[in-house]
Amino acid sequence: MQDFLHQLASGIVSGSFYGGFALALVMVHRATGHLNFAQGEMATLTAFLAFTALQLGLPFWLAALIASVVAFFLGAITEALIMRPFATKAQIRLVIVTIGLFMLLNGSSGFIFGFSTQTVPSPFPDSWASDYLSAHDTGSLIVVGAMVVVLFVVFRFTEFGLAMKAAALNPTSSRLVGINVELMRAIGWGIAGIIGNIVGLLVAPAIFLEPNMLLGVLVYGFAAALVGGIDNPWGAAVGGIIVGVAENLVGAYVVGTELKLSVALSLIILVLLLRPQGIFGHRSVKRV
Amino acid sequence: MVSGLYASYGPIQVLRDINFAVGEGKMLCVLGANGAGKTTLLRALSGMIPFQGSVTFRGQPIKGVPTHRLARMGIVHVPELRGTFAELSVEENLRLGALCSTANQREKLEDRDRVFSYFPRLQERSRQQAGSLSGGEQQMLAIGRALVSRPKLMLMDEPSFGLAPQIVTEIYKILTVLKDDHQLGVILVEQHAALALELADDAVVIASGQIVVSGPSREIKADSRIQESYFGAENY
Repeated sequence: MQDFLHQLASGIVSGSFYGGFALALVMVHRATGHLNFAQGEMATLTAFLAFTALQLGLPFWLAALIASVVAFFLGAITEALIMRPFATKAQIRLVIVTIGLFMLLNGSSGFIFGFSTQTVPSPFPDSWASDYLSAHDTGSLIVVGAMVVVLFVVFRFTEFGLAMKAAALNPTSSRLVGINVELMRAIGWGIAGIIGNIVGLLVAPAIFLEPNMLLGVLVYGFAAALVGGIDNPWGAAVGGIIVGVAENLVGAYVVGTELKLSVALSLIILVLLLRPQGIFGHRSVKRV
Repeated sequence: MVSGLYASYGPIQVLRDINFAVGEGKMLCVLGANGAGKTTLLRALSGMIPFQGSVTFRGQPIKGVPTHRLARMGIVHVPELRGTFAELSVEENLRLGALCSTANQREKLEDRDRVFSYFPRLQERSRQQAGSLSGGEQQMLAIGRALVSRPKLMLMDEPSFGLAPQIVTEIYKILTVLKDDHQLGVILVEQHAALALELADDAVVIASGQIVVSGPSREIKADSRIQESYFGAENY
Protein backbone atom coordinates (compact mmCIF):
# COMPACT_ATOMS: atom_id res chain seq x y z
CA MET A 1 0.00 0.00 0.00
CA GLN A 2 2.80 2.34 1.02
CA ASP A 3 4.55 1.57 -2.23
CA PHE A 4 1.39 2.13 -4.21
CA LEU A 5 0.89 5.57 -2.66
CA HIS A 6 4.47 6.49 -3.47
CA GLN A 7 3.96 5.45 -7.06
CA LEU A 8 0.74 7.40 -7.20
CA ALA A 9 2.36 10.54 -5.77
CA SER A 10 5.30 10.42 -8.13
CA GLY A 11 2.86 9.77 -10.99
CA ILE A 12 0.95 12.91 -10.07
CA VAL A 13 4.15 14.95 -9.91
CA SER A 14 5.47 13.81 -13.28
CA GLY A 15 1.90 14.20 -14.54
CA SER A 16 2.00 17.84 -13.52
CA PHE A 17 5.11 18.32 -15.66
CA TYR A 18 3.35 16.71 -18.61
CA GLY A 19 0.24 18.72 -17.97
CA GLY A 20 2.20 21.93 -17.62
CA PHE A 21 3.99 21.24 -20.85
CA ALA A 22 0.70 20.34 -22.51
CA LEU A 23 -0.49 23.82 -21.55
CA ALA A 24 2.18 25.29 -23.80
CA LEU A 25 1.03 23.04 -26.64
CA VAL A 26 -2.59 24.03 -26.01
CA MET A 27 -1.58 27.68 -26.05
CA VAL A 28 0.04 27.41 -29.49
CA HIS A 29 -2.90 25.41 -30.74
CA ARG A 30 -5.37 27.95 -29.38
CA ALA A 31 -3.53 30.83 -30.99
CA THR A 32 -2.65 29.35 -34.36
CA GLY A 33 -4.31 25.94 -34.73
CA HIS A 34 -0.90 24.30 -35.03
CA LEU A 35 1.27 21.91 -33.04
CA ASN A 36 4.77 22.96 -32.07
CA PHE A 37 7.17 20.02 -31.89
CA ALA A 38 10.01 22.37 -30.98
CA GLN A 39 8.30 23.56 -27.78
CA GLY A 40 10.45 21.36 -25.55
CA GLU A 41 13.69 22.45 -27.16
CA MET A 42 12.79 26.12 -26.82
CA ALA A 43 12.16 25.49 -23.13
CA THR A 44 15.44 23.59 -22.75
CA LEU A 45 17.38 26.45 -24.29
CA THR A 46 15.84 29.03 -21.96
CA ALA A 47 16.28 26.69 -18.96
CA PHE A 48 20.00 26.56 -19.76
CA LEU A 49 19.99 30.32 -19.90
CA ALA A 50 18.28 30.60 -16.51
CA PHE A 51 20.69 28.21 -14.81
CA THR A 52 23.67 29.99 -16.37
CA ALA A 53 22.34 33.22 -14.89
CA LEU A 54 21.96 31.40 -11.57
CA GLN A 55 25.60 30.31 -11.70
CA LEU A 56 26.59 33.91 -12.28
CA GLY A 57 25.07 34.65 -8.89
CA LEU A 58 21.63 36.02 -9.79
CA PRO A 59 18.74 35.08 -7.48
CA PHE A 60 16.48 32.32 -8.79
CA TRP A 61 13.42 34.49 -9.39
CA LEU A 62 15.42 37.00 -11.42
CA ALA A 63 17.04 34.25 -13.50
CA ALA A 64 13.58 32.75 -14.12
CA LEU A 65 12.17 36.14 -15.06
CA ILE A 66 14.97 36.84 -17.55
CA ALA A 67 14.57 33.40 -19.08
CA SER A 68 10.79 33.92 -19.34
CA VAL A 69 11.22 37.22 -21.15
CA VAL A 70 13.69 35.60 -23.55
CA ALA A 71 11.30 32.66 -23.98
CA PHE A 72 8.44 35.02 -24.84
CA PHE A 73 10.43 36.76 -27.54
CA LEU A 74 11.99 33.53 -28.80
CA GLY A 75 8.46 32.16 -29.29
CA ALA A 76 6.96 35.34 -30.73
CA ILE A 77 9.84 35.99 -33.12
CA THR A 78 9.94 32.36 -34.26
CA GLU A 79 6.27 32.63 -35.11
CA ALA A 80 6.63 35.94 -36.90
CA LEU A 81 9.74 35.12 -38.91
CA ILE A 82 9.70 31.37 -39.42
CA MET A 83 6.13 30.12 -39.06
CA ARG A 84 4.24 33.00 -40.69
CA PRO A 85 5.44 32.39 -44.25
CA PHE A 86 4.00 28.88 -43.94
CA ALA A 87 0.74 29.92 -42.30
CA THR A 88 -1.35 29.51 -45.42
CA LYS A 89 0.36 26.30 -46.50
CA ALA A 90 -0.65 22.74 -45.70
CA GLN A 91 -0.47 21.66 -42.06
CA ILE A 92 2.16 19.02 -42.83
CA ARG A 93 4.66 21.68 -43.86
CA LEU A 94 4.27 23.43 -40.54
CA VAL A 95 4.81 20.16 -38.74
CA ILE A 96 8.02 19.62 -40.68
CA VAL A 97 9.18 23.17 -40.00
CA THR A 98 8.69 22.72 -36.25
CA ILE A 99 10.56 19.41 -36.38
CA GLY A 100 13.38 21.23 -38.16
CA LEU A 101 13.32 23.84 -35.40
CA PHE A 102 13.40 21.04 -32.86
CA MET A 103 16.67 19.74 -34.31
CA LEU A 104 18.16 23.18 -34.72
CA LEU A 105 17.41 24.23 -31.13
CA ASN A 106 18.42 20.86 -29.70
CA GLY A 107 21.78 21.13 -31.44
CA SER A 108 22.19 24.77 -30.40
CA SER A 109 21.63 23.97 -26.72
CA GLY A 110 24.30 21.28 -26.89
CA PHE A 111 26.66 23.47 -28.87
CA ILE A 112 26.36 26.47 -26.57
CA PHE A 113 25.99 24.83 -23.15
CA GLY A 114 27.57 21.39 -23.69
CA PHE A 115 26.09 17.89 -23.67
CA SER A 116 27.20 16.92 -20.16
CA THR A 117 24.43 16.50 -17.60
CA GLN A 118 24.35 18.95 -14.72
CA THR A 119 22.50 18.85 -11.44
CA VAL A 120 20.67 22.05 -10.65
CA PRO A 121 19.16 23.22 -7.35
CA SER A 122 15.44 23.41 -6.61
CA PRO A 123 14.06 26.88 -5.86
CA PHE A 124 11.66 25.60 -3.18
CA PRO A 125 12.54 25.53 0.58
CA ASP A 126 13.09 22.12 2.23
CA SER A 127 10.29 22.78 4.67
CA TRP A 128 7.78 22.13 1.85
CA ALA A 129 8.59 18.40 1.92
CA SER A 130 6.04 15.91 3.23
CA ASP A 131 5.66 12.11 3.54
CA TYR A 132 5.00 11.43 -0.09
CA LEU A 133 6.23 14.57 -1.81
CA SER A 134 9.64 16.24 -1.80
CA ALA A 135 9.85 20.01 -1.46
CA HIS A 136 10.44 20.30 -5.18
CA ASP A 137 7.43 18.08 -5.94
CA THR A 138 5.16 20.23 -3.79
CA GLY A 139 6.46 23.45 -5.33
CA SER A 140 6.06 22.09 -8.86
CA LEU A 141 2.45 21.07 -8.25
CA ILE A 142 1.65 24.54 -6.91
CA VAL A 143 3.30 26.33 -9.84
CA VAL A 144 1.62 24.18 -12.50
CA GLY A 145 -1.72 24.49 -10.71
CA ALA A 146 -1.37 28.26 -10.70
CA MET A 147 -0.58 28.32 -14.43
CA VAL A 148 -3.70 26.28 -15.18
CA VAL A 149 -5.89 28.64 -13.18
CA VAL A 150 -4.40 31.74 -14.81
CA LEU A 151 -4.81 30.38 -18.34
CA PHE A 152 -8.31 29.17 -17.65
CA VAL A 153 -9.35 32.58 -16.34
CA VAL A 154 -7.74 34.36 -19.30
CA PHE A 155 -9.45 32.16 -21.89
CA ARG A 156 -12.77 31.96 -20.14
CA PHE A 157 -13.34 35.47 -18.92
CA THR A 158 -11.21 37.98 -20.80
CA GLU A 159 -11.73 39.60 -24.19
CA PHE A 160 -8.07 38.96 -24.90
CA GLY A 161 -8.52 35.21 -24.49
CA LEU A 162 -11.63 35.26 -26.64
CA ALA A 163 -9.87 37.27 -29.34
CA MET A 164 -7.02 34.78 -29.35
CA LYS A 165 -9.42 31.87 -29.70
CA ALA A 166 -11.27 33.65 -32.50
CA ALA A 167 -8.05 34.47 -34.37
CA ALA A 168 -7.23 30.76 -34.57
CA LEU A 169 -10.75 29.64 -35.47
CA ASN A 170 -11.47 32.13 -38.21
CA PRO A 171 -8.72 34.59 -39.18
CA THR A 172 -10.80 36.35 -41.85
CA SER A 173 -13.76 37.09 -39.62
CA SER A 174 -11.38 38.02 -36.81
CA ARG A 175 -9.83 40.75 -38.91
CA LEU A 176 -13.31 42.02 -39.71
CA VAL A 177 -14.04 42.47 -36.00
CA GLY A 178 -10.78 44.36 -35.55
CA ILE A 179 -8.45 41.65 -34.24
CA ASN A 180 -4.80 41.89 -35.28
CA VAL A 181 -4.51 38.20 -36.11
CA GLU A 182 -0.75 38.24 -36.76
CA LEU A 183 -0.07 39.87 -33.41
CA MET A 184 -2.31 37.34 -31.64
CA ARG A 185 -0.43 34.44 -33.16
CA ALA A 186 2.94 35.84 -32.13
CA ILE A 187 1.69 36.55 -28.59
CA GLY A 188 0.28 33.02 -28.38
CA TRP A 189 3.67 31.55 -29.24
CA GLY A 190 5.30 33.94 -26.80
CA ILE A 191 3.05 32.89 -23.92
CA ALA A 192 3.60 29.25 -24.81
CA GLY A 193 7.33 29.99 -24.64
CA ILE A 194 6.93 31.31 -21.09
CA ILE A 195 4.88 28.28 -20.01
CA GLY A 196 7.40 25.90 -21.56
CA ASN A 197 10.24 27.77 -19.87
CA ILE A 198 8.60 27.48 -16.45
CA VAL A 199 8.07 23.75 -16.95
CA GLY A 200 11.71 23.42 -18.04
CA LEU A 201 12.84 25.16 -14.85
CA LEU A 202 10.72 22.72 -12.82
CA VAL A 203 11.87 19.62 -14.68
CA ALA A 204 15.62 20.35 -14.62
CA PRO A 205 16.04 20.06 -10.81
CA ALA A 206 13.87 16.91 -10.81
CA ILE A 207 16.12 15.15 -13.36
CA PHE A 208 19.25 16.67 -14.86
CA LEU A 209 19.87 19.70 -17.01
CA GLU A 210 20.96 18.48 -20.43
CA PRO A 211 19.97 19.20 -24.05
CA ASN A 212 17.59 16.23 -24.26
CA MET A 213 15.96 16.64 -20.87
CA LEU A 214 12.50 17.49 -22.23
CA LEU A 215 12.38 14.82 -24.92
CA GLY A 216 10.31 12.45 -22.80
CA VAL A 217 8.19 15.28 -21.45
CA LEU A 218 7.42 16.34 -25.04
CA VAL A 219 5.98 12.93 -25.91
CA TYR A 220 4.07 12.68 -22.63
CA GLY A 221 2.97 16.29 -22.99
CA PHE A 222 1.48 15.54 -26.41
CA ALA A 223 -0.25 12.51 -24.92
CA ALA A 224 -1.58 14.72 -22.11
CA ALA A 225 -2.84 17.38 -24.51
CA LEU A 226 -4.56 14.80 -26.70
CA VAL A 227 -6.06 12.90 -23.77
CA GLY A 228 -7.42 16.06 -22.17
CA GLY A 229 -8.41 17.86 -25.36
CA ILE A 230 -6.03 20.09 -27.27
CA ASP A 231 -8.17 23.21 -26.87
CA ASN A 232 -8.71 23.12 -23.13
CA PRO A 233 -6.27 24.12 -20.32
CA TRP A 234 -8.07 22.08 -17.63
CA GLY A 235 -8.15 19.14 -19.99
CA ALA A 236 -4.43 19.42 -20.62
CA ALA A 237 -3.67 19.50 -16.90
CA VAL A 238 -5.94 16.60 -16.02
CA GLY A 239 -4.69 14.75 -19.11
CA GLY A 240 -1.16 15.23 -17.77
CA ILE A 241 -2.07 13.74 -14.41
CA ILE A 242 -3.82 10.79 -16.09
CA VAL A 243 -0.81 10.11 -18.28
CA GLY A 244 1.65 10.52 -15.39
CA VAL A 245 -0.27 8.24 -13.05
CA ALA A 246 -0.95 5.63 -15.74
CA GLU A 247 2.67 5.66 -16.78
CA ASN A 248 3.90 5.18 -13.21
CA LEU A 249 1.40 2.55 -12.10
CA VAL A 250 1.45 0.52 -15.31
CA GLY A 251 5.25 0.88 -15.37
CA ALA A 252 5.61 -0.30 -11.76
CA TYR A 253 3.06 -3.12 -11.70
CA VAL A 254 2.40 -4.27 -15.26
CA VAL A 255 4.94 -3.73 -18.01
CA GLY A 256 8.10 -2.62 -16.17
CA THR A 257 9.97 0.67 -16.45
CA GLU A 258 11.48 -0.07 -19.87
CA LEU A 259 8.08 -0.02 -21.52
CA LYS A 260 6.77 3.08 -19.71
CA LEU A 261 6.87 5.21 -22.83
CA SER A 262 4.60 2.79 -24.64
CA VAL A 263 1.87 3.64 -22.10
CA ALA A 264 1.80 7.22 -23.35
CA LEU A 265 1.75 6.15 -26.97
CA SER A 266 -1.03 3.62 -26.35
CA LEU A 267 -3.04 6.34 -24.64
CA ILE A 268 -2.61 8.61 -27.67
CA ILE A 269 -3.85 5.88 -30.00
CA LEU A 270 -6.75 4.92 -27.75
CA VAL A 271 -7.96 8.50 -27.37
CA LEU A 272 -7.65 9.24 -31.08
CA LEU A 273 -9.66 6.11 -31.85
CA LEU A 274 -12.39 6.49 -29.25
CA ARG A 275 -12.68 10.20 -28.57
CA PRO A 276 -10.64 12.30 -31.01
CA GLN A 277 -11.56 15.60 -29.38
CA GLY A 278 -10.08 14.41 -26.05
CA ILE A 279 -11.86 13.68 -22.80
CA PHE A 280 -12.69 17.30 -22.04
CA GLY A 281 -12.61 18.80 -25.53
CA HIS A 282 -15.90 19.47 -27.17
CA ARG A 283 -16.83 18.59 -30.67
CA SER A 284 -17.83 21.54 -32.78
CA VAL A 285 -21.26 21.53 -34.34
CA LYS A 286 -21.69 22.80 -37.85
CA ARG A 287 -24.92 23.18 -39.69
CA VAL A 288 -24.75 22.85 -43.45
CA MET B 1 -16.19 58.71 -50.67
CA VAL B 2 -14.74 56.59 -53.41
CA SER B 3 -13.09 57.94 -56.51
CA GLY B 4 -11.35 56.22 -59.38
CA LEU B 5 -11.17 52.84 -57.68
CA TYR B 6 -9.62 49.93 -59.58
CA ALA B 7 -9.21 46.42 -58.18
CA SER B 8 -7.97 43.14 -59.54
CA TYR B 9 -7.33 39.56 -58.52
CA GLY B 10 -3.84 38.97 -59.87
CA PRO B 11 -3.91 39.72 -63.58
CA ILE B 12 -7.70 39.82 -63.77
CA GLN B 13 -9.07 43.34 -63.63
CA VAL B 14 -12.36 43.20 -61.77
CA LEU B 15 -13.28 46.81 -61.08
CA ARG B 16 -12.59 49.87 -63.23
CA ASP B 17 -12.96 53.53 -62.37
CA ILE B 18 -15.55 53.25 -59.62
CA ASN B 19 -16.77 56.56 -58.15
CA PHE B 20 -19.43 57.17 -55.53
CA ALA B 21 -20.09 58.70 -52.14
CA VAL B 22 -22.18 57.61 -49.16
CA GLY B 23 -23.34 60.03 -46.52
CA GLU B 24 -24.04 59.41 -42.82
CA GLY B 25 -27.42 57.83 -42.31
CA LYS B 26 -27.66 57.05 -46.01
CA MET B 27 -27.94 53.72 -47.71
CA LEU B 28 -26.38 53.02 -51.09
CA CYS B 29 -27.27 49.82 -52.83
CA VAL B 30 -24.93 48.22 -55.31
CA LEU B 31 -26.76 46.20 -57.91
CA GLY B 32 -25.59 44.04 -60.75
CA ALA B 33 -25.49 40.52 -62.07
CA ASN B 34 -23.40 37.68 -60.64
CA GLY B 35 -19.72 38.29 -61.24
CA ALA B 36 -20.15 42.00 -61.90
CA GLY B 37 -17.67 42.82 -59.11
CA LYS B 38 -19.99 43.79 -56.27
CA THR B 39 -18.38 41.59 -53.64
CA THR B 40 -14.93 42.65 -54.85
CA LEU B 41 -15.90 46.25 -54.21
CA LEU B 42 -16.81 45.53 -50.59
CA ARG B 43 -13.67 43.48 -50.09
CA ALA B 44 -11.56 46.35 -51.38
CA LEU B 45 -13.33 48.83 -49.08
CA SER B 46 -12.67 46.69 -46.00
CA GLY B 47 -9.01 46.18 -46.86
CA MET B 48 -9.30 42.49 -47.63
CA ILE B 49 -7.86 43.00 -51.11
CA PRO B 50 -5.62 45.79 -52.41
CA PHE B 51 -6.96 48.44 -54.78
CA GLN B 52 -5.76 51.38 -56.85
CA GLY B 53 -7.37 54.78 -56.76
CA SER B 54 -8.46 56.82 -53.80
CA VAL B 55 -10.93 56.04 -51.04
CA THR B 56 -11.48 58.37 -48.12
CA PHE B 57 -13.46 57.59 -45.01
CA ARG B 58 -14.51 60.57 -42.87
CA GLY B 59 -11.80 62.60 -44.55
CA GLN B 60 -9.04 60.04 -44.10
CA PRO B 61 -7.49 58.07 -46.95
CA ILE B 62 -7.79 54.34 -46.25
CA LYS B 63 -5.66 52.89 -49.00
CA GLY B 64 -3.35 50.17 -47.64
CA VAL B 65 -4.86 50.29 -44.13
CA PRO B 66 -5.17 46.69 -42.84
CA THR B 67 -8.63 45.22 -42.26
CA HIS B 68 -8.41 45.07 -38.47
CA ARG B 69 -7.48 48.74 -38.30
CA LEU B 70 -10.37 49.73 -40.61
CA ALA B 71 -12.70 47.80 -38.31
CA ARG B 72 -11.45 49.91 -35.42
CA MET B 73 -12.03 53.07 -37.49
CA GLY B 74 -15.67 52.06 -37.85
CA ILE B 75 -15.95 50.27 -41.18
CA VAL B 76 -17.66 46.99 -40.48
CA HIS B 77 -18.03 44.39 -43.19
CA VAL B 78 -20.72 41.72 -42.94
CA PRO B 79 -19.48 39.32 -45.60
CA GLU B 80 -21.33 36.95 -47.84
CA LEU B 81 -22.28 33.80 -45.90
CA ARG B 82 -22.15 36.00 -42.78
CA GLY B 83 -18.70 35.21 -41.41
CA THR B 84 -19.88 34.36 -37.91
CA PHE B 85 -17.68 32.25 -35.64
CA ALA B 86 -19.47 28.92 -35.99
CA GLU B 87 -17.62 27.24 -33.11
CA LEU B 88 -18.34 30.02 -30.64
CA SER B 89 -21.57 30.83 -28.87
CA VAL B 90 -23.94 33.62 -29.89
CA GLU B 91 -22.88 35.52 -26.78
CA GLU B 92 -19.18 35.14 -27.62
CA ASN B 93 -19.79 36.29 -31.20
CA LEU B 94 -21.37 39.45 -29.86
CA ARG B 95 -18.49 39.98 -27.44
CA LEU B 96 -16.09 39.71 -30.38
CA GLY B 97 -18.14 42.24 -32.31
CA ALA B 98 -17.78 44.68 -29.45
CA LEU B 99 -13.98 44.31 -29.32
CA CYS B 100 -13.38 47.35 -31.46
CA SER B 101 -16.14 49.39 -29.87
CA THR B 102 -14.96 52.37 -27.87
CA ALA B 103 -17.86 52.01 -25.46
CA ASN B 104 -17.26 51.15 -21.81
CA GLN B 105 -18.27 47.84 -20.25
CA ARG B 106 -21.75 48.98 -19.23
CA GLU B 107 -22.48 50.54 -22.62
CA LYS B 108 -21.33 47.36 -24.29
CA LEU B 109 -23.88 45.39 -22.29
CA GLU B 110 -26.55 47.91 -23.30
CA ASP B 111 -25.52 47.53 -26.95
CA ARG B 112 -25.84 43.78 -26.60
CA ASP B 113 -29.26 44.08 -25.02
CA ARG B 114 -30.34 46.39 -27.82
CA VAL B 115 -29.36 43.70 -30.34
CA PHE B 116 -31.39 41.21 -28.32
CA SER B 117 -34.35 43.58 -28.44
CA TYR B 118 -34.10 43.81 -32.23
CA PHE B 119 -33.64 40.05 -32.55
CA PRO B 120 -35.24 38.30 -29.55
CA ARG B 121 -34.41 34.91 -31.05
CA LEU B 122 -30.71 35.57 -30.50
CA GLN B 123 -31.31 36.04 -26.81
CA GLU B 124 -33.11 32.71 -26.58
CA ARG B 125 -30.12 31.07 -28.21
CA SER B 126 -27.34 33.12 -26.65
CA ARG B 127 -25.51 30.07 -25.30
CA GLN B 128 -25.78 27.99 -28.47
CA GLN B 129 -22.94 27.61 -30.93
CA ALA B 130 -23.45 30.04 -33.82
CA GLY B 131 -22.94 27.17 -36.27
CA SER B 132 -26.11 25.52 -34.98
CA LEU B 133 -28.34 28.50 -35.81
CA SER B 134 -30.56 28.65 -38.87
CA GLY B 135 -29.48 30.78 -41.83
CA GLY B 136 -31.79 33.63 -40.85
CA GLU B 137 -30.61 33.61 -37.24
CA GLN B 138 -26.98 33.62 -38.38
CA GLN B 139 -27.69 36.67 -40.50
CA MET B 140 -29.30 38.35 -37.51
CA LEU B 141 -26.22 37.47 -35.47
CA ALA B 142 -23.95 38.88 -38.18
CA ILE B 143 -25.86 42.16 -38.17
CA GLY B 144 -25.94 42.20 -34.38
CA ARG B 145 -22.24 41.58 -34.23
CA ALA B 146 -21.62 44.43 -36.64
CA LEU B 147 -23.87 46.72 -34.66
CA VAL B 148 -22.25 46.25 -31.24
CA SER B 149 -19.01 47.58 -32.72
CA ARG B 150 -20.78 50.96 -33.07
CA PRO B 151 -19.81 51.30 -36.72
CA LYS B 152 -19.98 54.40 -38.86
CA LEU B 153 -20.19 52.52 -42.15
CA MET B 154 -21.64 49.09 -42.64
CA LEU B 155 -20.83 46.98 -45.70
CA MET B 156 -23.50 44.35 -46.21
CA ASP B 157 -23.00 41.58 -48.72
CA GLU B 158 -26.24 39.93 -49.82
CA PRO B 159 -27.96 39.66 -46.47
CA SER B 160 -30.92 38.02 -48.19
CA PHE B 161 -28.86 35.17 -49.61
CA GLY B 162 -30.51 31.81 -49.06
CA LEU B 163 -33.20 33.12 -46.72
CA ALA B 164 -36.97 32.81 -46.81
CA PRO B 165 -38.69 36.01 -48.05
CA GLN B 166 -40.41 36.51 -44.72
CA ILE B 167 -37.11 36.58 -42.83
CA VAL B 168 -35.56 38.85 -45.44
CA THR B 169 -38.34 41.37 -44.92
CA GLU B 170 -37.86 41.20 -41.17
CA ILE B 171 -34.11 41.72 -41.44
CA TYR B 172 -34.45 44.62 -43.87
CA LYS B 173 -37.03 46.32 -41.72
CA ILE B 174 -34.60 46.30 -38.83
CA LEU B 175 -31.73 47.37 -41.06
CA THR B 176 -33.53 50.58 -42.05
CA VAL B 177 -34.41 51.30 -38.42
CA LEU B 178 -30.76 50.82 -37.49
CA LYS B 179 -29.57 53.09 -40.22
CA ASP B 180 -31.81 55.93 -39.06
CA ASP B 181 -31.26 55.37 -35.33
CA HIS B 182 -27.50 55.23 -35.50
CA GLN B 183 -26.82 57.62 -38.38
CA LEU B 184 -25.17 54.68 -40.05
CA GLY B 185 -23.89 54.75 -43.60
CA VAL B 186 -24.72 51.49 -45.35
CA ILE B 187 -23.40 50.03 -48.57
CA LEU B 188 -25.67 47.19 -49.48
CA VAL B 189 -24.82 44.64 -52.14
CA GLU B 190 -27.95 42.85 -53.26
CA GLN B 191 -29.18 40.59 -56.04
CA HIS B 192 -32.74 41.28 -55.14
CA ALA B 193 -33.03 44.63 -56.95
CA ALA B 194 -36.65 45.50 -56.19
CA LEU B 195 -36.19 45.13 -52.45
CA ALA B 196 -32.89 46.99 -52.37
CA LEU B 197 -34.22 49.93 -54.39
CA GLU B 198 -37.15 50.15 -52.04
CA LEU B 199 -34.86 50.66 -49.03
CA ALA B 200 -31.83 52.50 -50.33
CA ASP B 201 -31.46 56.23 -50.83
CA ASP B 202 -29.14 55.90 -53.78
CA ALA B 203 -28.13 53.12 -56.09
CA VAL B 204 -25.36 52.20 -58.46
CA VAL B 205 -25.52 49.42 -61.02
CA ILE B 206 -22.29 47.62 -61.84
CA ALA B 207 -21.86 45.67 -65.04
CA SER B 208 -18.57 43.94 -65.86
CA GLY B 209 -16.64 45.96 -63.32
CA GLN B 210 -17.90 49.43 -64.19
CA ILE B 211 -20.64 51.65 -62.91
CA VAL B 212 -23.20 51.90 -65.69
CA VAL B 213 -26.00 53.64 -63.85
CA SER B 214 -26.06 55.71 -60.70
CA GLY B 215 -28.57 57.97 -59.04
CA PRO B 216 -31.33 58.14 -56.47
CA SER B 217 -33.09 54.79 -56.04
CA ARG B 218 -36.48 56.35 -56.76
CA GLU B 219 -35.43 57.41 -60.25
CA ILE B 220 -33.78 54.11 -61.05
CA LYS B 221 -36.80 52.26 -59.83
CA ALA B 222 -39.04 54.37 -62.04
CA ASP B 223 -36.91 54.01 -65.16
CA SER B 224 -38.24 51.03 -67.04
CA ARG B 225 -35.36 50.98 -69.53
CA ILE B 226 -32.83 50.41 -66.72
CA GLN B 227 -35.06 47.76 -65.26
CA GLU B 228 -35.19 45.85 -68.52
CA SER B 229 -31.54 46.11 -69.47
CA TYR B 230 -29.94 45.28 -66.14
CA PHE B 231 -32.26 43.41 -63.85
CA GLY B 232 -34.44 41.30 -66.12
CA ALA B 233 -37.85 40.12 -65.10
CA GLU B 234 -36.97 37.28 -62.73
CA ASN B 235 -35.60 39.51 -59.98
CA TYR B 236 -38.69 41.57 -59.99
